[in-house]
Amino acid sequence: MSILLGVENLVSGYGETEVLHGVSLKVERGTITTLLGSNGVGKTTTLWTISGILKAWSGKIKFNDEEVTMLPAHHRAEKGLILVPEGRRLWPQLTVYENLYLASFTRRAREKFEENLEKVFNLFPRLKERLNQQAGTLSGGEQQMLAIARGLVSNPEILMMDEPSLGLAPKLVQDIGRVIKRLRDEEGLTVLLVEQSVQMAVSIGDYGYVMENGRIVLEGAIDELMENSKFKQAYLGM
Amino acid sequence: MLELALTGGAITKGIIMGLIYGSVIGSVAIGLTIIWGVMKVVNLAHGHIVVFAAMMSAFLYLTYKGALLFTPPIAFIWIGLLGAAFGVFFYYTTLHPVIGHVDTMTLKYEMSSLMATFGFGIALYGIHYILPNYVHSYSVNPSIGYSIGAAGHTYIVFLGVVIMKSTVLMSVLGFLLTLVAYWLMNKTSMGLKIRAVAQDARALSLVGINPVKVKVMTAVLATALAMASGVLFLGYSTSVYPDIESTVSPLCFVIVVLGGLGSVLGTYFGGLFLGVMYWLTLELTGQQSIALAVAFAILLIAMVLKPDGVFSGIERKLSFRAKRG
Ligand SMILES: Nc1ncnc2c1ncn2[C@@H]1O[C@H](COP(=O)(O)OP(=O)(O)OP(=O)(O)O)[C@@H](O)[C@H]1O
Ligand SMILES: [Mg+2]
Repeated sequence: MSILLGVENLVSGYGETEVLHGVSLKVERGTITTLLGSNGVGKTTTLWTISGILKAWSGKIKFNDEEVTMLPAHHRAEKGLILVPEGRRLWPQLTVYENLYLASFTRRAREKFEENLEKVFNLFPRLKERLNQQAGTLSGGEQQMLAIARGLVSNPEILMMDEPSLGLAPKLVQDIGRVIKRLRDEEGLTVLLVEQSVQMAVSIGDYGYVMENGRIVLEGAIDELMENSKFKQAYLGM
Repeated sequence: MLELALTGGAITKGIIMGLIYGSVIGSVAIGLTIIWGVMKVVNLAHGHIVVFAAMMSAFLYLTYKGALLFTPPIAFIWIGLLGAAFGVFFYYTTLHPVIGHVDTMTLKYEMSSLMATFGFGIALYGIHYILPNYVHSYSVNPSIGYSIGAAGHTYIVFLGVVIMKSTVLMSVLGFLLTLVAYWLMNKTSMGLKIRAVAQDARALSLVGINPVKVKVMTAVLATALAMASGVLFLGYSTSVYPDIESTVSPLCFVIVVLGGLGSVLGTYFGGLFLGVMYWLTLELTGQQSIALAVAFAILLIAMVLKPDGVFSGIERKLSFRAKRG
């Protein structure tokens, strides 16, 4: 077992407000690790801080045995630490192709652009049909596919996804879940997943963390969590 | 008394002179459409930068007695390159403090960029008056643009209209400058990044691109184009003084709005259209102030009828953007 991403005692927030009060987590290579918790507990803040868009106030972020805590966000992305952000953050007036092409400018992505593009079209054939359509005119589901596709074209070493199924129909939520699982099984992709559909997250995840008020309060292999009655009651309503 | 001279000759002359003028003034507006239309920085310094370049090249041309290096067809290239460096200065002094770390340009940031660039423009205007040995108005030889290997007359007669060869040359160079800008914005990865940065800068850093670098590039491109076109403007008009800015700036804004914010070719066509309207009115009424008034009336009408720009579709039709394969 090898740890690809290690976060130790991460503290960060917005302006004067401290949101994360010392978050620690590990993501093992080739696994899907999920980060769960109710609204406003700091899941998105955790991912923005790991990606470097938010500065860490203290604590350590190690990626691939290298400390990246102080690196600017674009350097982390160059190393393959990729975030599919909450709310998609596409460039709405650029075409689908342009959105994907922009993700291929780093060295690691450029080398594999054609290959990754094929992979992405394979996963989301709808995108291939809409290559020259403006991203802002895609349906919500298609936009989410494009956001994930853009993440994959960046040629990630780890793909962090923030609520990829937000606002999608139950059928599409399952589809997205299947895609993530396929990426792990077939490509060996490492995933850190924040998901509001706990059902979907536990059905594909290997390991889980539960956050409350800016802290990790529970963690364990998904099987273990599923045997924890408190967890089941709080997050699965069982 | 206003007399309308509505003759065929006047119309022909108005159109020809208007196209020549429009090509030059259209290219002058390209820098503005890039920085305003694409990056959402309402650049009130644009006109000042154009006039600054025109003043500088006139000063050099007269100081060095028309040496080849300082004639507009040569000078517009290297003064444009100088403008690239000047763009870095412009960005870090004026734009970076305001928009350097902004993710998505909203109205609030457009307004603060407006204030910042206004200040930069005033400062640049002031420089004309504090430099030693710097007069406040220049007139250069009307054949200025045509002094390379020139033989024979400095004018040609076309359809009965007498045209200075140098103005034709300036308008051709304006067209070429436009093509270069169009190519950079629509066919290169730099242009793609520039188009993306105003929409979502943070998303650029998520795919490994430094958004601040892209903002610098935008300012560099816009300033380089502004300064290069300033030299063409001098070559065309043959006289320049700091206060000409108060004519250049509003015209640029009209043209950019006509052309559709951010559309390079649309802006150029906006320039041609405005040039023709201006010259037709001038030919028919003989009064420059009326011609300018007509230009602004066109803007008002255009903004009511087609707020997205009259010529913005041209770019969409001609542009293939980055496609696969
Ligand atoms: N830009 C911001 N400025 C100030 N406070 C913020 C900002 N973004 C989030 N917060 C606050 O930080 C806390 C954590 O927010 P965060 O977005 O990380 O939660 P989350 O766990 O992702 O929630 P959700 O499940 O609703 O997406 C919340 O209290 C929120 O109000
Ligand atoms: Mg969130």
